[in-house]
Amino acid sequence: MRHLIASSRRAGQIAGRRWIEARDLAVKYVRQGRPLVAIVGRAGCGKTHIMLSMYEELKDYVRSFIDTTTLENRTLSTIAGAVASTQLIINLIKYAKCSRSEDYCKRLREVYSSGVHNLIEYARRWPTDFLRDLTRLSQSRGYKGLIIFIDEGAISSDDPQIPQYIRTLHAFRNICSQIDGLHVVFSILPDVLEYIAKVDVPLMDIIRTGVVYLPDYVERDEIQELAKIYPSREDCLTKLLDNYEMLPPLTVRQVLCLLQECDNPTICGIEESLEVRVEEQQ
Amino acid sequence: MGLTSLRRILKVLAVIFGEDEGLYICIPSSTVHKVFEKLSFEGWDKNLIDLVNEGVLRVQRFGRGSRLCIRKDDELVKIRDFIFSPESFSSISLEEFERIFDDALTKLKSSSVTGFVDLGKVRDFLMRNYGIPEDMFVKYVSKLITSKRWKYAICHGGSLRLKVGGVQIGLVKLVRR
Repeated sequence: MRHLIASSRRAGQIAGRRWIEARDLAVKYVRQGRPLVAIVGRAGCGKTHIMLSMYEELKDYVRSFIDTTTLENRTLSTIAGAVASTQLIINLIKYAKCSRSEDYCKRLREVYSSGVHNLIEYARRWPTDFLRDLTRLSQSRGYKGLIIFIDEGAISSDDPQIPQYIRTLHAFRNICSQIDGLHVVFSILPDVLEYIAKVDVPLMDIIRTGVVYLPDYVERDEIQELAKIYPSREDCLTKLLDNYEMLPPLTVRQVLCLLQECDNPTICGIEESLEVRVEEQQ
Repeated sequence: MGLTSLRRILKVLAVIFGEDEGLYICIPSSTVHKVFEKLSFEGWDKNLIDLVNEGVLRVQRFGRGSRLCIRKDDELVKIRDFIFSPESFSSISLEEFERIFDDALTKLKSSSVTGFVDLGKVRDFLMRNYGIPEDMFVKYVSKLITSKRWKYAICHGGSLRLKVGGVQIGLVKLVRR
């Protein structure tokens, strides 16, 4: 069941016309120079997978994929530090031969000469300078720019780190306007986006220019497409298609799960009988 | 003006202009300013700070401005239910509720950025327009979500949280009619 969690190994496999269109639209937004590109969708609808696919597609950019759940916090400094520790970035700096006029290149080389830890520390202390120099270095080496992919920045609108993460996105909004060629692609849940729309209108105004909404649920014909490329049982596929109209709108993850576990839908988040009760919101 | 009077006026404003946000009802700061300026109450802004310090009130950034959120208490809930809950409501059928619930989701969709609608906003909308009290709303929504779950995409978030099959939800989108 490992395939229920998106991984780079399957990044090239995308099923479903609507998901392919969403991926292509997001790629187009980056190529058009939009600074922030938001991939919006509810849990399990393929946000991480689409971002991994974009990562594969946009090889003419220097890319850094950050899973923020592995970071101690969501500040700009920490994310810049994580960018500095990406192998692709380290190699770019490590093998860069700087000409006399390339100050940005020389700065990065000098910092790196004392070790990767020094580079990470530099990125954390001066994130804007680091990202500016890195973007210029990328462009001077034939790349179109630098893309930072941020996954799972806020796991829900109740995430205690959400104010910090919004400040970071806002900082990226400002930094990207100063640095041509720098893009931030991030996945975001609907409740988190609604929260941003409520508390940070200037940030929302920029997000709106590059927002891509993933489909809320999988259509019947798309189930068959998924079954072709992901592990599935023949009997489960038949059962799923036969009962499609009775089931709640299924996410991709639920469909992938049901294609193997149709005898036990509860583990796929499909309750046989539902109990509803009001929860106190703090 | 004393703190008690200020608190009462804020409750009335919350009932008339407020938006339900779980444990609080929030009123745009500009509305509060306008009302108190009109009523020419002196020193109300200082008293507001006292209420904030007491934890009765909190100031929240909202859009391009801010809003004041007053903590719900029995008195506030009673006033609200008295104004918005006519006795005649119990006659509505589940089918009728389903129709107005779906219409509300369609109408309120335009004010959301993702198409998902906050259940708390739907509750307020149905309370204002049809006088449906909160307990009835929860009862009928629960029935709809369990019996016609193929119609609604559900999601975490929002100001009114329901626990559906172990998962907390508060945002709903109508995906099939």
